[in-house]
Amino acid sequence: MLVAVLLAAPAVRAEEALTNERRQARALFTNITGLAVSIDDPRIVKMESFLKDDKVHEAIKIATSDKAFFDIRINNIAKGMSNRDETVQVKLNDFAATFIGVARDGLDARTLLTGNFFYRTNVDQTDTHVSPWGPGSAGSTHYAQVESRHYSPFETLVKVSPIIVGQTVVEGATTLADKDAAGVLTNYAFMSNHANDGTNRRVIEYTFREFMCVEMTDWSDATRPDDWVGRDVDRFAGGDNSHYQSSCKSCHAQMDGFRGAFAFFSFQKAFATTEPMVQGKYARNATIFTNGYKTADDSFVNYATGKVNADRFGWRSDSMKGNGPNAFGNMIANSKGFSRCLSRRFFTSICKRKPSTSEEAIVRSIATKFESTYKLTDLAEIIATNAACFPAGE
Amino acid sequence: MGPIKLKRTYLKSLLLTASLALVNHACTGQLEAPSTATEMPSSAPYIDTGDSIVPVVATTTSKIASSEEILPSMAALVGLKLPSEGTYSAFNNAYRPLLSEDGAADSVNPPMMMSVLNLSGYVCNDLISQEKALASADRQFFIDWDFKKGTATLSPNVISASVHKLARSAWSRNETPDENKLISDAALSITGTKVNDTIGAAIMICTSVLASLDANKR
Repeated sequence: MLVAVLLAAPAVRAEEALTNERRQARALFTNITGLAVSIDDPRIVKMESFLKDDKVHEAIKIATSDKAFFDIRINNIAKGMSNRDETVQVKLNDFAATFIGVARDGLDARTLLTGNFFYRTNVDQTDTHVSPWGPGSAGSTHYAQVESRHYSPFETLVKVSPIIVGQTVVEGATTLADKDAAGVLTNYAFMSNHANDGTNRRVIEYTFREFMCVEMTDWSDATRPDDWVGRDVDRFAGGDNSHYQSSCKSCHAQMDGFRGAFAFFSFQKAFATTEPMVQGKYARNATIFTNGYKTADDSFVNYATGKVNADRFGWRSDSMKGNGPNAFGNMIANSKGFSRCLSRRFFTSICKRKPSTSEEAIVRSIATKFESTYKLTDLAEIIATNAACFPAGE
Repeated sequence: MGPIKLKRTYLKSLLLTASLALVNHACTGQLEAPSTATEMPSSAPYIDTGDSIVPVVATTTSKIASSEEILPSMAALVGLKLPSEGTYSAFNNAYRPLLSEDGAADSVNPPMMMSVLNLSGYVCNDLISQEKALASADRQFFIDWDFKKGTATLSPNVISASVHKLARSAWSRNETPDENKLISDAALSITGTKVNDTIGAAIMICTSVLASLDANKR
């Protein structure tokens, strides 16, 4: 049931008249930051003043520079992307913290998938040691304390480089090389959710799900070459090859082509192992089809280049193959699909609705403008000034 | 005093919140649309009723405060510096799981509304504790309330003024005379000689405002 709501006409007392600009300012601030404040809040009064002078960007900047924008809006978007259940009701984690930090510090959003860093709070303010990867910390205690002690992530996050992994709690003892770092993809939250057990295909599935906004069935394509499909995929289920050709191959041809990028990664218990050798999970059920692809290193190939997917993802990489997570992250982050997906997520969050299919051109336009700086605060401002988000007069 | 002990006050707040939903709130003048989606299309000027196209007034997408927005928002709307640990604990353990993750309009259900009401009670309790510690002139909402005495010290004007300040802050508009009277009369009906009775009246008007649709719609 659609609930259509008319804004109630206010009863105005002459001595406390509320202007349209004041109401608009309050609505803008609340929708951008996620925080409802009094209509007499100084921030709203200041925004009202800018709106009266037709300085819309200046007004919006008050919202996008407020700590609530980062602690609530950005935090909400990131948390929902950080776990397998895609729920926002999780404790703060390194995925969300890094997202907030990148937004706050005006870093290029592509570093979310290419950077060799993460964000944590100032060590003096929490008990647990800073390493989110150390056994015993379970990766979450440090960040949980940010929330349990009511610290503002905006105020307390600091950047740490490079990313720490390994079986030690000593800061800096075991770190990722740049070629192995893919921002939040190689941080604790993402690895613990998607590189635990399994065959690392979920890492690829959820990379596309969270950063390209496509479910596996959306980008399946049975026309792609299957020379990279693993040995654990049955080509003759029930003695019939047609099911493989029409169904299994449509996902595996592309997914298996990518998964080699994480061949050296596996999340076990409370830590990840990165070794210059292919993890055992890549040889799981290798006898099902022995002529299938055998992962020998961390190379990968991009087969998501069929006509529909080429337009959907808008690849820009010079090469459609590479080695390691960083090259994989680079390929994703520099695609048009990445900026379009972030645009969709921010649009949905700020405008309180998903863009309709007829608004695809608007999404692509927003994404193109976003790519001029790749700053997440700029993305919020581009969206907030778009008439599709806030129609004139609202 | 914990709000969970004030059962009679809560029942009154619940009835009052429901009443407020029908008076000058979103439910009046509501237009039906055939879509099953919670989002409005960017332009939806007409309803197809079969034989004729009926032009309707353009409406805006509305949602409600999500689970991650509601507590900081409630606190900000009443100028609460920091909710108490009891409030955080109740929110995280009891209410957060029942609140909407995305604030979609069709996610509203009875357990959620009860959670909103109960949460507002905790926030209001914290607000009253914060204001009690201040001199009357330094308070934001409960000016001239004597929290050391029974309700006999409360005048209709004092209550009405508090309702106005809370409503304007939480609803982003001034309340109508009917709304003010509805809430004030409910608070005035709480009479007693004990300090808890005065606190009960304060919680009554605070939760009636803070738990209402206008405070939580987006």
